Amino acid sequence: MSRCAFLSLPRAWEAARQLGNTRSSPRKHGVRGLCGVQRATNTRHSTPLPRNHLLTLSAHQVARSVRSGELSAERIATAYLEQVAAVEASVGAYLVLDAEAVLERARSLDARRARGEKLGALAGVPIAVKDNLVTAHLATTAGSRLLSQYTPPYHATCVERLLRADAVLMGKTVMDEFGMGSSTETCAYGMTRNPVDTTRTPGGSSGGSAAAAAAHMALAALGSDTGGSVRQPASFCGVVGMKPSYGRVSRNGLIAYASSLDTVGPMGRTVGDVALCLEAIAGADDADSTCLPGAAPPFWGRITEALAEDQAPLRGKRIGLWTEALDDIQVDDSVRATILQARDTFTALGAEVRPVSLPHLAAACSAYYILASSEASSNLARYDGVRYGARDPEAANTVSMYTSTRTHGLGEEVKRRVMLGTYALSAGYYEAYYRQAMRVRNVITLALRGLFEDVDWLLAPVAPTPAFRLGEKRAVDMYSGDRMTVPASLAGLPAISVPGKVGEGQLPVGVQLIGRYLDDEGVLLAAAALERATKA
Amino acid sequence: MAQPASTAMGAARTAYVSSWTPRGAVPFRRVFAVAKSSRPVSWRRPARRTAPPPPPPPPTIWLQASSGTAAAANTRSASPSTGGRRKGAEELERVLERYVPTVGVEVHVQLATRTKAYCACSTRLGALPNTQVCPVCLGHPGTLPVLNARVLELTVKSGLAMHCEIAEWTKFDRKNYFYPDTPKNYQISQYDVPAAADGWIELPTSGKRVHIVRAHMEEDSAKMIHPGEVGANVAAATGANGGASEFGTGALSQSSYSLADHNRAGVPLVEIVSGPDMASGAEAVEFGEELQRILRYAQVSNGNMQDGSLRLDVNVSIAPRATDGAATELGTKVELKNLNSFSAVERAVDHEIVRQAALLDRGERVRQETRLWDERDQTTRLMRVKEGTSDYRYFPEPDIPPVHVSAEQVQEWRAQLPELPAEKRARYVREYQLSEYDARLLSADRRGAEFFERTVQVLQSGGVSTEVAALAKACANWLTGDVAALVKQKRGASSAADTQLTPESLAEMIALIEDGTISGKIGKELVPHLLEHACASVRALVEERGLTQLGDPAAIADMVREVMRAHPQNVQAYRGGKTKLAGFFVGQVMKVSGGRADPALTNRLVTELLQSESEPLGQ
Ligand SMILES: [Zn+2]
Repeated sequence: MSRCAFLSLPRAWEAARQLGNTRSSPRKHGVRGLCGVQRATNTRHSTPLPRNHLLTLSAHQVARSVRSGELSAERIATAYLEQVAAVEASVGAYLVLDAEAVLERARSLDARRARGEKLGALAGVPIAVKDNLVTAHLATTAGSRLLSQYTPPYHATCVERLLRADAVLMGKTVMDEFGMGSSTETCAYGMTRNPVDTTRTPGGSSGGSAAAAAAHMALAALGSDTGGSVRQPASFCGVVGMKPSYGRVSRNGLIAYASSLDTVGPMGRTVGDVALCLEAIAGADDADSTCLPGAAPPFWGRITEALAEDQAPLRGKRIGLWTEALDDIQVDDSVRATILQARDTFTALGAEVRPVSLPHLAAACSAYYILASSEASSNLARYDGVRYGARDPEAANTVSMYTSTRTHGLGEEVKRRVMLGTYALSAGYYEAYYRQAMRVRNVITLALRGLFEDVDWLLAPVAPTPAFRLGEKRAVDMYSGDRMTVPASLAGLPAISVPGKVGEGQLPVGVQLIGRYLDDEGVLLAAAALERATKA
Repeated sequence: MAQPASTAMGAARTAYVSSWTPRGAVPFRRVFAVAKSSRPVSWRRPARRTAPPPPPPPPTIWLQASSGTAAAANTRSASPSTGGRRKGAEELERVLERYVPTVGVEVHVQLATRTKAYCACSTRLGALPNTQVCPVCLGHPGTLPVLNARVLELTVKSGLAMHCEIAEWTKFDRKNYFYPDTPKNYQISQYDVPAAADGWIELPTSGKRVHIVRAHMEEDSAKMIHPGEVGANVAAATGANGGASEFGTGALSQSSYSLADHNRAGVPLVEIVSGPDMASGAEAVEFGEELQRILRYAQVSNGNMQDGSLRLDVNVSIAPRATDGAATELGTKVELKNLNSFSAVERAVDHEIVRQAALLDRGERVRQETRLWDERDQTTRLMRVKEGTSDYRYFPEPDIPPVHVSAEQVQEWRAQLPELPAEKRARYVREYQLSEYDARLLSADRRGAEFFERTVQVLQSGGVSTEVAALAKACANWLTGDVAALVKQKRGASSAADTQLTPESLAEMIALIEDGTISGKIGKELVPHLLEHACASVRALVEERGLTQLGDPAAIADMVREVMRAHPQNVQAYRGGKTKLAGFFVGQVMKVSGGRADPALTNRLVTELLQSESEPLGQ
């Protein structure tokens, strides 16, 4: 045996090439703008609720109906495209949406079914994908000008798996440039508005995906979560967003921001939809050595079964309530109230909720920004104009070409983090910053590991506040807003944001549940139980 | 030299090298427009106009690039250390009386894997530019490296072959620097935990041990070509791992554009760093040659310098010699690059020692810098001045988890290593009683050494009743003598193993000589034939051609008489005291017999008959 078991040869990009052969011509097109939207005022501008009942079906219901022929994928796709046509102008969730391609895809699924083929678990389910997941036939920008003319030569593994499960790819969603931001305002092509209140941010960086799911412009969406980029927008838009355990979903094709923290996570209107998507995209991948071995567990079936069998599925479970996060004076009253409400719901469901103190987590945010920026400074170095993407064609020499390409191609926030990370890794500062942040990361990981010997889940707010107003905060002022989501990121733990109970007319507030490493199923189960009790 | 393929390549290259695609080039496709406003597609400031893409390069550049390596391949230069005294040798000697040079070597070795280090692309040499590439080795967004298991195996094997400690846990780090030949603008390398460290290599002639500081895995960069530039070859040869990783002037070259061939990007390398344990160009060469042998024996690399599979960079410093002969303090280190042959290594190092001595003699300071060897002018040129150490901002590669190398795995790989050159040499001296010189020659090439050993083995098992040492000496004489001379003239051959000659036929031929069936002279005549043609039985061959030795005294005596009759004056002269003429008669008999006459018998009979006054009968 000349190969070690822990290593695997990279998968040839045959698959990507095959898909590339059939790809449609890339044509980036803006499908939204700020036109038609009133200037932000104190009045609430929420997008209309969908009237078409097809838009209220769950992913499982759609897939089952499309598989059986009860509903055509085309009808579903048309319903979603009509909703896009109705609300996209005021929300702006999509960067790229090729309606023809969407319909073509849906029709091809119907044709395959008509030929007697058995369709997959996401048959006909319209799913939006964050624009940092590469798609062979659709331009991919990661929200950056530098990639304004870039069409990737391959599909991200998670996208490939969605397609293999016969999902319908709706389009690519708006995001903060390279995932760096908490409001979608750093996107080079304009921001997304929160469908609940279009004067407010949908959160970020997966704001477009959250808004698309919330406004029924997609049944579900893929986002990516490095320090809270799935959970925070889910909380702001009132949808479910899951950050799986690090390595649960392949990062192959996820445009890297901070490799040791990046995760791909599904977003949807119900925990069930999120579970079904996660099931489709999770599992070992030869193209990503940091991806966990083994196939994905049948998340959806297990939680559905657990909830169906047991009216109190959380009986005997222990939940820790993160006291520092709740006692934080900057935490909004509505957030605090929602979390306490969730505590009561869990107690009613038979779980034991106990306060837990996690003082080490106070350093999480600083450590996160140092580590994420350090990795980003290296990950983003490839955007130099040499091989792909935009380039200054007039530069006199290589260095000025680099300088000009990156100066004009990258946005302020990205440049800030690249410089921060470059500094943190520099000789003489490495010890004080990068190394120290790694130590903090270890301390936090150990503290959380210890905690999960005593409790099954950690209950916490997602963010200190509900969705804030667009333009209200400067980028750096948003950093501290990540303090409740970054601990799970640093420790690689599965975490979910599920809408909590809020008062009439109040902005949505998510409840965060963090679970043991690899216990994605448990997190989904607790969230599903909470969701059922909250909606009841 | 137009080739149809070159035009196609020009187009393929453009896709990656000149990525500025005018927007009109993208095929238009109608898109469902939901909103009225479209997003900006270009970030360019409106004041500037989009310039046309750079002119397509002349297609011949690719031919130049590939034919250059093809022509250079297989031209084996003789080891300079065995060459005669060169011009400047006296000058060097005078310098060495006053200064102690310190030489250390950094070697980049291309590992003999079929595929690249972190993707599945082929590593085959000589393919058209940018045909062995994929999103991973082009550094496309979202791609991830996945370690090729063979890279680890070959690195560990090279470490074991150099007596290194193998790290149980090893990891990868990113070395960050901007250079257009580096697709990700960082190189996946190893920083603080190399796969192998702390070993040694013994120099064959002196027995001196050179410390191996470390051996670590990394990836090669793309190959840059700067068309039209004077000295384009030099620039092409010095990539990130052979060279330049910082900019001096901001311009890569005087060319208006540069080309990058990514076939080499991501090819696995092991970097081997020696201790500063050598003191001359000759020692650096000996180290390099022994390392090359080790790597070839272990089948870690083909070790060819011409095609860049083995790249030596040398660090040279000198210090004034104290009265006890030792160095007083360490001098400033100068790095030498672009050393494409061992001969270049030796000349460049010696040239640098003399250059530094001249600086110090003039009271000047040696600058810490990198210099390029110029083969044409036999001199070094300044490439860049090193100001402090470069800050590569190393940090752990987050895309590749740490690698565990178990003791069992190391054991398994160790067991797969063959006997290495140093061990072989020692055994040849011990077991076969060969001279060190013969042992070195015979073990220079692994397959050649195996040929030799097999020949001895066949002879032994063939029941030839001579002792091993004598058999080995006979084999050695043939292999280092006639066979080696012929192999040297044969293109692409490095030992008898690369010819039609087999150990069995060589052994059979030696046995035929030993038992007197053929003469040694016939053997010499047979060797060229056996090198070119497969031969199942040498005995059958010599019998068929009537080459067997004549051992019949009567027949040889007849031939002697015949020669004596033909040269009566010489017979007279001999008998008149010019006894040296015996050789003439022996030679004539050999000629008459077609070389088949038994030389000893012929000698005896020639003397007998010449001395016998009654001969030749019948005069
Ligand atoms: Zn490749």
